Amino acid sequence: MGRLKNIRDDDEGILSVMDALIFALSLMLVTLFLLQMYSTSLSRTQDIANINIEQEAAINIQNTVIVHNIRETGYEDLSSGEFHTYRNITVERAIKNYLYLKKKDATPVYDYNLTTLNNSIKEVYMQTAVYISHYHFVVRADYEDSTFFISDVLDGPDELDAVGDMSVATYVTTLADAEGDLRRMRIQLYIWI
Amino acid sequence: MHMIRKMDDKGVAGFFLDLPVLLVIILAMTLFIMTFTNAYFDYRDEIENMKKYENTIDLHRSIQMYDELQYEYEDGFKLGHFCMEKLGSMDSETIKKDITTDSRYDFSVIIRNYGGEENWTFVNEDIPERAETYIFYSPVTLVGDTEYDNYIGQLTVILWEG
Repeated sequence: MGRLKNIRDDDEGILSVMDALIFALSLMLVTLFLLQMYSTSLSRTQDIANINIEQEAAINIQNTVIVHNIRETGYEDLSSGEFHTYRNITVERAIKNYLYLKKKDATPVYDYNLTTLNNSIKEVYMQTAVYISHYHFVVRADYEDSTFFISDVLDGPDELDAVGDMSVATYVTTLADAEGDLRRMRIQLYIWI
Repeated sequence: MHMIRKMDDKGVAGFFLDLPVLLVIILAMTLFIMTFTNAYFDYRDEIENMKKYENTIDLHRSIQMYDELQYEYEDGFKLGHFCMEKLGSMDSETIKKDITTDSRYDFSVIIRNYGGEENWTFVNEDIPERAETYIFYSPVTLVGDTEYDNYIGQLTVILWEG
């Protein structure tokens, strides 16, 4: 029966307890490093997937809302006390009208109350972005000096910077300027969780 | 640093003196393998989950683009714009035949009128109670008699392993 023969250069062990501990520590470090790599890779993949999902949601919301037909809305001309009614108007058209009227409202000649128009547009975005898709949202459109801004949580454009990661869907359309020339304008939808 | 043993280089006792060292190494190796295997399986599960979720999104997109359900405008079809009349006359078998996904999965398609009573369910009406489901939903447009007669709806696609 052959004997177990340790190969050693002197009477010290092949591995001492200290060597074994160093070995164990090294294994732990390697494990941690590999786990870190897995975790980073997984989190990156998940982040990309979430961004794609959110981007897809922004496009879906914008596509649905922009062509949606508002049955009845309008605005009040405060100088005459008349209420002007719009029937079967798309959200895109409603936003354009809002911007156009707001621009006129800024002049001393006109005095409009645009709350009904604003609320009708906001209601459609609330349904699609908040109630159906469960996102917070901001919609912003600029036309010359006028700005259209609605949100379920924010009060004004200056608060937009405080929101972290958002996905944006931009709808490009045209609106005539004072000279009657068509100018490109963007209706931007920002969403976030 | 090495521990010096009081022994010659032939004794059986040498093997027993190495036992603590072996135990530490075996323990370290076992822990390493267990942690690593566990992490690997978790990672694989997560990736698998994401793939299933991607399948759900792809399926959702296929339904949004399914021209047998889409409303036809003068300039063609629009993504996620469904004709309510087509929805009413569509049957599950036709969708099952036209919309394909990985054969491992079953799915259900639900379209509902957000402000109204209408609700259409296709393919699988009953989802197994214990099934792990993957759900993707989005707002869609439901068009009635004319393109001005439109409503906001919700398209929900539910996928599970059959």
